Amino acid sequence: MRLAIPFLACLAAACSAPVEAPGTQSGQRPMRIVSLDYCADQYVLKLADPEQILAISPGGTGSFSYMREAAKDFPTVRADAESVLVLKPDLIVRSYGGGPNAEAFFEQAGVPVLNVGWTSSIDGEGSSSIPGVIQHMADGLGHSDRGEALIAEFHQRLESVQARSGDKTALYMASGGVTSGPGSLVHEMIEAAGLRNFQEAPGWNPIPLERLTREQPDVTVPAQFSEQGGFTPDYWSASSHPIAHRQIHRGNTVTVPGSWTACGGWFLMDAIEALADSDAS
Amino acid sequence: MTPNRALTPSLVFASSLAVFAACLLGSTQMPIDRVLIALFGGGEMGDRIVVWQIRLPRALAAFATGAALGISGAALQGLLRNPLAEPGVLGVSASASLFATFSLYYGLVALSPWVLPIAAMLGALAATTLIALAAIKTRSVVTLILVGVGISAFAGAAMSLLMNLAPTPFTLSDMINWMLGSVANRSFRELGFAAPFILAGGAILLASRRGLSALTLGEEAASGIGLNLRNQRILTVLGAGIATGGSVALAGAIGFVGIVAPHVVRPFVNHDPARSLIPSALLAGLILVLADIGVRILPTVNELKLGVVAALIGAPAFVWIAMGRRAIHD
Amino acid sequence: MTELVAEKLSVHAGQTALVTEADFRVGAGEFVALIGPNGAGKTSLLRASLGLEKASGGLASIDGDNSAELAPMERARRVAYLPQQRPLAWPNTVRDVVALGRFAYGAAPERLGNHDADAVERAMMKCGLENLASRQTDTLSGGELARVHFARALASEAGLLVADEPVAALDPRHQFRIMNIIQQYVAAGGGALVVLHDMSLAARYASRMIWMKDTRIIADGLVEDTLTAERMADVFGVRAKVDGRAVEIEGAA
Repeated sequence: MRLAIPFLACLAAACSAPVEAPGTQSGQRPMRIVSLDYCADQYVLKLADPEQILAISPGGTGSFSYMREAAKDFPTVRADAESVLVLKPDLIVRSYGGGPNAEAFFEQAGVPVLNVGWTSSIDGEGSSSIPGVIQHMADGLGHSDRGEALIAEFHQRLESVQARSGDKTALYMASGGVTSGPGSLVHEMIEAAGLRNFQEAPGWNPIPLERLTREQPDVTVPAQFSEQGGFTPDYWSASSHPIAHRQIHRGNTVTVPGSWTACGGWFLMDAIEALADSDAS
Repeated sequence: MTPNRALTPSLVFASSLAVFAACLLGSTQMPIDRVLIALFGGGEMGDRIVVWQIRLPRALAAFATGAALGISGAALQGLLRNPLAEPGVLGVSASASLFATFSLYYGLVALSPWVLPIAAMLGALAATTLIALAAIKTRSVVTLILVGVGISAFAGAAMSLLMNLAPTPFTLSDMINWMLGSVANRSFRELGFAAPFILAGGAILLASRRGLSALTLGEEAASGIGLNLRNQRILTVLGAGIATGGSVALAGAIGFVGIVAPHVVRPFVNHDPARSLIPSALLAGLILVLADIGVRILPTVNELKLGVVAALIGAPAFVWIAMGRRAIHD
Repeated sequence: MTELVAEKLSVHAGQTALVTEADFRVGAGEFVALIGPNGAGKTSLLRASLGLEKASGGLASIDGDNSAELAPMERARRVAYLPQQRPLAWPNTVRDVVALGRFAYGAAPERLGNHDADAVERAMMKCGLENLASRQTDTLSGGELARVHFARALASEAGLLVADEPVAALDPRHQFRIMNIIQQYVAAGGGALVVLHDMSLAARYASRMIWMKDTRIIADGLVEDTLTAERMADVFGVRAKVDGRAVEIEGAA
C-alpha cells in the first residue's frame, strides 16, 4: 500500500506528459510511420526514407495522388484506430484522415501525430504557405535537409515562371460546375502563373454561364478528376451545360489533373507551370 | 360544379406566363423588354443565347417534368381508383432513378446517350408493373402505398450501394440531385432526349383515358360496360412508366406533385379521371416552374433542390387527403 | 331480343366446385329470378355465363356467340350487368355515371353523340332521376344510387339485364321502385335475370324462377310450378306457407 501511492503518482505523471514526436528530438527519426490520408501520403512518400514507412492510406495509389507510382510499393492501412494502433507506429501523419478527433485520440494512446496543416498561400513566410508546410513536414519526418532542397527547387521554378508573364485571363472549371475567385489556392495558382482570374467574385461560385455567352477567358482550365482522363462533369453541374462544353473545346484549354491541385502540395507548381506555358503559346 | 371549360385555356395561359417569368431570372441582369425580344428571335445574339440556351431550357425542363408527373399521377389515380397514387409515392420515380444512375455510373451511357432515358424508363416500368400486379391482388390502398414505400426504400438503398461501388466516380451532389430532383443547368440537349419519352407516355395515357372513367364503377362493373381490363392496365402502366422515366432522366426523382395537381383539378372536371389528365399535366408543370423560380429566388446559401420544394408543398397535401378521405363504398 | 344460354356450365376454384353443370336459358320478355341460399353459387353462375369468370366446363353463349370469347364491348352492347358490389370511386355527377352506360358505343361522359345523349335522358326519366342529374353521387341515398345504376344499365340499350341482388339493403319503397323499373324493361321486350333474396318480391314480379342449391340448379320453371313449401324447406331450411304467388315464411324448419 505504501508503494502504491508513489507508483500511481508516477503513472499519473507519465500519462499527463505531452508526447513528443521523435523527429523533433535531435538525431531521432521516426522509423514506424503510418499516414492516414492521401494528402499525408504525399509528404511521407516524398520526404521520408522507405524504411521509415510502415503503412500509407489506401488513397495513396488513387489517380488523384501525385505520388501514386511510389505509393505502389507500400502496404496500406485504413484510418481506423484499431488497425493503426495494432501496427505499433511511432508517428502518425495526417491531414484529415481518422476524423476530427484523431489527433487527440492518438496522442492519448501515446503516439505522436504530425498534422499536415492547411495551405492558404503559395509563397511567403507563414506556416500556411506551401514552403512553410513543406518545412514543417520535413522537420517532423526527420529530414529537414530534404525539405530545404524541395523548397529551393520550388522557389526556383516559381521565379522562372514569374519571369514570363502576360495579361491573359483564365477561368478554372471544376467538374462540380463551380469556379473560384479571389480567396483560394486556385486563384493564387492562376495569378502565380502570370494570368488574370476571369472570375472576379470572391470564393467558390457556379460557373458564370451567362457571362460566358458575351465574353470568354483566353485560357480555360478544366480540372480533371477521373481515372480515364478527360473532363467528367457531374450530370447537373454547370460544367455539363453546352455553353461550358463549347468553352472547353473552343481553343486554349489547359487540363489540370486533380492530383496537382489537391492538398495544396508542392506539386501545385506543375499546374502553375502548365498554365504559364499555355500563356506563352 | 359544372365542368369548367375555361380550365385548360387558363392553365395554358398561366403556364406560359410562368415560363416567361422564369426566363427573367439569371445570373446576369436582363430587363424584361430584352428578354421578350430575345424570346421572339430578335435582339443581340448574346441575349438570344442566354435566353434560348440557358434560361428557357431550364424553365421548359421544369414544365415538362411536372407535366409528365401530373399526367402519370392522374392516370394512376384513375387506374387504382385512389387519390393517393402517384409515381413518387409508389416508388416509380425512385426505381427509375436507380436504373438511370446504374446506367450512368457503370459506363453504359457510353454506348449511346439514349441509354439514360431508356434505362430510366425501364426502371419506371418495373415499378409500375409491380404496383399493378399488387393492385390485382389486394383491394387495400394502404397495402399499395406500403408496396410503393418498400420499392422506394429499396431503390434508394440500392442506388447508394451501386454508386459507391461504381467505377466512375460520383459526387454526393449528383446523388442528392438524383434522389431529390433538380433542373439546374438543363439544356435542350437533355430535354431532347427526355421529351420523346414524356410525349410518348402522355400520348398513350391520353389514348386510353376513356377506360379510366369506366373504372369509376369498380373493376367488375367496368368489365360489364365493355372495358378490357387487362388492356387498360397494360396501357396505363406503360404510359405512366414511360412518361415518368423520361421525367426522371431529365430531372431526377421528384415526388408529390403528381398528387397535388390531379387533386386540385378534379373538382373542376366533375371528378372524371379521363378529363383530369390534361389539366393535371398543365397544373403540375405550372407548379414545378413556379417551384423552380422559388428555388432560385429564395435567399438560401445553397440552392434548394426542386424535389424539396415539391415535397414541402405536396407532402402536407398528401397527409391532408389521406386523413380526409371518406371511403365511398370502398 | 337477346338470349343467354348456359349448357352444362361448371365453375371451379381450385378443387372446390362453385357451379356444377348448370343449364338454363333466359330470353326476351322473361323476368327470371335466380333463387338460392348464400354460397349456392349464384354469383359465380352469373359471371361465368357472361364470360366474366373462367368456366371449368360446359358452354355459355350470348345470342349464340361463346360468352368467354366475346369482346368486352360487344358483350356490353348485348348484356347490361349490375354486380353485387357497386363501389363508386369518385363523386361524379349522376348524369356522368348514367352516361357510362354508353361506354360500349365509344362514348365518354363529356363526349356524347345525339343518340347517346337521348338514351341517357330516357334512362334517367325511366328511373326518375331528372331532378338528381347534377347531384354528386356521394350525396345520394342507397335507394337513389340503386336507381342511378339501373339508369346506367338501361342507357346501354342492351337486350338483356343481369343483376346480382340489386335491391339488397334498400327500404321497401325503393325495392318496389326498382322492381317496377325491371318490369317495365321486360314489358318493353328486354330479358332480365335477377338474383333475389326476398322471396315475396321474387314471387310477385318474376315470370320464372331458377332455384340453386349446393352449386346445382335444382328447379327451373314458372313461379307457380316451382314455388312450394317443400322446396322452401329443402332449399332454405324454412317453414313457409305458399299460396299461388304469395309466400309467407313462418320460421326455421
